[in-house]
Amino acid sequence: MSCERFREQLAQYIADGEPACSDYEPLRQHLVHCARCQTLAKDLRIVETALASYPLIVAPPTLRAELMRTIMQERQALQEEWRLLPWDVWVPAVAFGLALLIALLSLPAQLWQAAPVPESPDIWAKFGLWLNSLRLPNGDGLFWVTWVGVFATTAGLGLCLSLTNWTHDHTRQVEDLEARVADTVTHLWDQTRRAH
Amino acid sequence: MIEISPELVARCQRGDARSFAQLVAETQNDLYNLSYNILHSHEEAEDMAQEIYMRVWRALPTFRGDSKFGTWLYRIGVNACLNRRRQLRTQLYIADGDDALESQIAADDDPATSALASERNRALWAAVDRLPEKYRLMITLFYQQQLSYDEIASMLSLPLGTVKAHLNRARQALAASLRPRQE
Repeated sequence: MSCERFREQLAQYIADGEPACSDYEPLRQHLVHCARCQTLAKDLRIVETALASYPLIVAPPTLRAELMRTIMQERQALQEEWRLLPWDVWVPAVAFGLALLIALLSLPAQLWQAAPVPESPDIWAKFGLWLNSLRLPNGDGLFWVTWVGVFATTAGLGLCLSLTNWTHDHTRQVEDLEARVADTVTHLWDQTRRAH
Repeated sequence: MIEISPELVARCQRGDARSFAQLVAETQNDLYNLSYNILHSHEEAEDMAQEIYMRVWRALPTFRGDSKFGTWLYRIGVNACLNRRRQLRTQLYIADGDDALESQIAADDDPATSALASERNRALWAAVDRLPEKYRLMITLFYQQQLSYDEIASMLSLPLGTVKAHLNRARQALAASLRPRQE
């Protein structure tokens, strides 16, 4: 093995603490006879000792205080802004709701017409009559059922997928939203009471 | 290598700012040192340290404990500093580096160390600053941050052999820097 090849191995040998393992035996034999490599080994030992005591530069004393001030300011700003439900929850939820509404509006007319209208309709009967008045043309009933069914299934699947990815961060967002809504309602109620 | 207790990390993940301040106190010297050794400017290192900690604060919920927290922290730090270095695209001076070393050396000065050894050590530390960036980064991570070869390879996405080769070439370059002084 050439002197050059041994020199490449020498740095690792010195850095490893000059172990007695047999892998380095040819190198140790070479060092016995090669003055140049002995000098290099001595220099590498000096390098290793110096690097072992390579000092850490101390961080400025203001670093932590400034950092925490920035974090508090950011947290304050976040608390002041409204944060809605995650989009991967409210989008499929709205889609599902729309599908349900379209389904209700598309119900065949005879379902409403078949039921006798009470003389004094309660609130549910009134709701049914109102829906009946809004119903969409049901000539293409099968089309509408298929369309709404596909729409609702896709939206429902999307909602289930997003809920399986629910994280602690989502929970915090919902809690923040609940707290914000409660504060707003309380505030409005107080304002209303004061006005009267 | 930075060792942070899992309980402290968990408290930080729950948004406990006081715990995060404690985490910063335990890691700021290492992280600042890493930033300084890559960017070579106290101003840049301080700005970068702030930015790294802000990134860590925001990304804490995503830390799942697959690796050590220290390794995760260093990975964010190294990537951020290298990106910043690329943005700067200039060789930054090491003039203020000598001042920093002076203040650190004063704190650690061992009276038993001979004057020659101290002078030689300072010369070697200054020689580290003149190494090519990739060798300097390896020296910083291996000797100052005390990461293992495997940890460095994992963090920098390099083969283990490459990490060892870089470190050995850095050691040889530093050894060569000694010879003009000794002649």
